[in-house]
Amino acid sequence: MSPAWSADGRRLAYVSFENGRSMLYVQTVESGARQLIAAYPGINGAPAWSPDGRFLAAVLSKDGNPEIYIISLESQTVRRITRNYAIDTEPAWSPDGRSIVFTSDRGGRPQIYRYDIPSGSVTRLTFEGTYNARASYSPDGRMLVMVHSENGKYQIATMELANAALQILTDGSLDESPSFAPNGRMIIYATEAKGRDVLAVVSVDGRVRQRLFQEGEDAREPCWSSYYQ
Amino acid sequence: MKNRISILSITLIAILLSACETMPQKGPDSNLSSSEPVTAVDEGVVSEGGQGAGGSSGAESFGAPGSVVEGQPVIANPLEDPASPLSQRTFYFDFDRSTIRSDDRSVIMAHGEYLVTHPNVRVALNGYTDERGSREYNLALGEQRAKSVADLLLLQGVGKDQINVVSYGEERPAALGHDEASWQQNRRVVIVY
Repeated sequence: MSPAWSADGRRLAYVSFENGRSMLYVQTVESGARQLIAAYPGINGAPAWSPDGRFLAAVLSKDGNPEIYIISLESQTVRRITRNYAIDTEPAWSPDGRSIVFTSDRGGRPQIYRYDIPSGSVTRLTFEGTYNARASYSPDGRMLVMVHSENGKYQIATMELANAALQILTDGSLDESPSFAPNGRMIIYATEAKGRDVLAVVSVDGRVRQRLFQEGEDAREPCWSSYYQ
Repeated sequence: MKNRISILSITLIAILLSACETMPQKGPDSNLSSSEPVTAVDEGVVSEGGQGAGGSSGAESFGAPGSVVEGQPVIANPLEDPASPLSQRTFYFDFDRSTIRSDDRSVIMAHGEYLVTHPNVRVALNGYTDERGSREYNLALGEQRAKSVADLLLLQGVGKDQINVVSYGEERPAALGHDEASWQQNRRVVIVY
């Protein structure tokens, strides 16, 4: 669950339930070697790489409820950055490494918030719709893509950070797991077609949409890698 | 000489034979327990789940160990009694909510009473959500639901080490449809003994 490639494409962080509960691992692709990063009581989830590959933002509920922490991969130290009785989850770093956006329901329903790393301040970013979650940055840092819901449907939307303009790109009802392609022009996401979980891509302006069909198993949680061209 | 030996042996055999005839016979009723534990057994079967002795420990409260008690009812383990509130192990939740429904409170508290009186028994509380929304948020919501049930048990005095909270989020759904009929079956916490 929640696979995340490091920026250099050499390592993959993910959540595994192989021991009966969630634990965070980092695996090096070439050697296959695997390192256990977090196995605290409760949730260990939602890993997100810092742009320089030295840190993982993650969600741990070891201190009572799900909060965002920054884990140093070199020193294994853990720094807590949210302090709130609500659910704080799904962190994602900005390309310049100065911000982390995350999902929080501290306002009653899940919305997107931004944590400014230098100052430690938290600001709410989304105000449209009853549900905004799982935000991530475009490669140029100017937009977010997220799961958005109003009227009971779950769709993919982008938001320009400069003016908070929200644009809904898809028209499914159970769309999830969006992420920008490295070229910044397409977004891949998971959707449901004919009762199966399939992947699809949509252009950033929303005009072109295409489903990626494959035989056999359902597919979920796509994640672009920059390493394999 | 021969005659004295034969007389002695005949005498011995006669003594032995007479001894056999006077050995006391074992009657079938000799190991029946007194009537008092029987009434205690009846009360134990009727009680609401978890009060007093449960299951195998109840069997030791009447009769000598290993004895056969004919005609008495067998004590059911309250965990295996379909009429006991403890047979309800799944609790359902409203969309995006982790508050326990009012109908479920008394059943959860029955589990709490059982766990308080059996401090060596441990349970897992598995929390789940329906498929809508993002996966990691649902992992957190599933945990919140399981923790709501855990909090109620802890308030009753159940030990922290008797409870293990695990969230599966939207994984391992109970129902696979993409409609409310399925979704409501997936928004749940399951108590596993």
